[in-house]
Amino acid sequence: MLKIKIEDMDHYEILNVSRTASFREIEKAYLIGKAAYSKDSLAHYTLLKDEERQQMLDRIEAAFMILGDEEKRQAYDENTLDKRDRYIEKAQFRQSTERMIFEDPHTDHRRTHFFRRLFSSAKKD
Amino acid sequence: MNPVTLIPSLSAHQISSKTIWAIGGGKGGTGKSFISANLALHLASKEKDIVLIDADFGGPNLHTFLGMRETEVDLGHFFSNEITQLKDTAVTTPFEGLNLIRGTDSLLFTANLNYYKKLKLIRHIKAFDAKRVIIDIGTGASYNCIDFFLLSNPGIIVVNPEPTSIENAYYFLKSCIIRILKIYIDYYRIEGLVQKISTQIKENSKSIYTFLNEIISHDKYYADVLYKALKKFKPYLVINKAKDEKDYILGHSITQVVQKYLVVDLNFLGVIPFDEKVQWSLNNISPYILNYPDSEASICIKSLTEKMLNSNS
Repeated sequence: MLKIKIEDMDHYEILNVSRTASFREIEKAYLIGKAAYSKDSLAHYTLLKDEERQQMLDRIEAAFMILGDEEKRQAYDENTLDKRDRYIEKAQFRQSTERMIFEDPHTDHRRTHFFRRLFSSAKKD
Repeated sequence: MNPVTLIPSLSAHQISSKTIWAIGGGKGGTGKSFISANLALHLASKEKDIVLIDADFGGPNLHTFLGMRETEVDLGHFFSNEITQLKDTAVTTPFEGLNLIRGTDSLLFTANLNYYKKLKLIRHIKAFDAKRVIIDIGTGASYNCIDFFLLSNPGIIVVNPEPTSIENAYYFLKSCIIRILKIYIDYYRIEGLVQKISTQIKENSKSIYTFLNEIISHDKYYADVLYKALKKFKPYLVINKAKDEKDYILGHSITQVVQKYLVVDLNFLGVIPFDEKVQWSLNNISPYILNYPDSEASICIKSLTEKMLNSNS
């Protein structure tokens, strides 16, 4: 799914780790993230405004507060991510079924087929 | 024309076993030619059939890094049609398995290479019969630099741990992104977006990020097309003249910021430490990696080359 909005990113995406990442991987990603968006880092030079940099730094801190704690991480996975995943799945399913109704073979296509047959037989006559 | 024809690096499948690596990054003096020459020398010691192309039209000096001075032919002969085939401008170097296509310092072709000559060169590089082609790209982020960078698979962006170098590297990267988006927008004839992208080019800060977000809110289908095109562009980053561990962390930091705000999967290849002996080698017009094969910088160059080879296999 196309998702580039930083506001929509979950804690894993903010830290750039997979959902199965170990504590060590999470901690490493947190330290790199913290270094990247610290005020004296050159990594965001000319690319981010100070306000944006600070917002990202806050999100990195918030993400590590949750993912760095085993209990909080488990609760987050179950209560937030699982629910969100199910919501996205439902939304995608709804979108795909809407397309199916639009392309329903028992309505438009069958009618088109009927007219095609009618005209082809008329031509033969 | 299909975007893949114009930007071969965006093709999911490589057409031949030949690999083209390009070394760029915007700012002058970051060590692009130094890395190109030494990377090619190390490659030639492992496998044969390597061609090094000096595409710095503004001031070619790759030959000097190889310890060479004049060559009988150069790209100028190709551009002026004195030599019709690019392969005939390749000269053998003192190093087995390594050929060089020397850049031209003819005032007729410097920097302002015209469009048709550039396309001709791109066509010949793509058709060049060699196992590996390494292109040393000149300073700046003009289309003459960008198009050769996008020809590669992958390209390497060389950055020094200093603000001016990072600023230019971001500008270079943004120019690559704009070029890719423009080619796709023209191909799909997304008329309304052309105007938008022109405005975004003028705005500097995080323009790609806001641009893509705007498209998502207007048209998810084309946003997906453009997003996928950008995701196929996977350049590498090298921090050259690194002084300490902080510069190593900077490499990882830059890739993090770029992935989030420029929507490009920039991969950190590694660092090459600063070494005064590089200057000594240059002053003596002799290749660094052969003079100091066991120095830290040489070991890093070898390691980066191995990583590149593994990523291509």
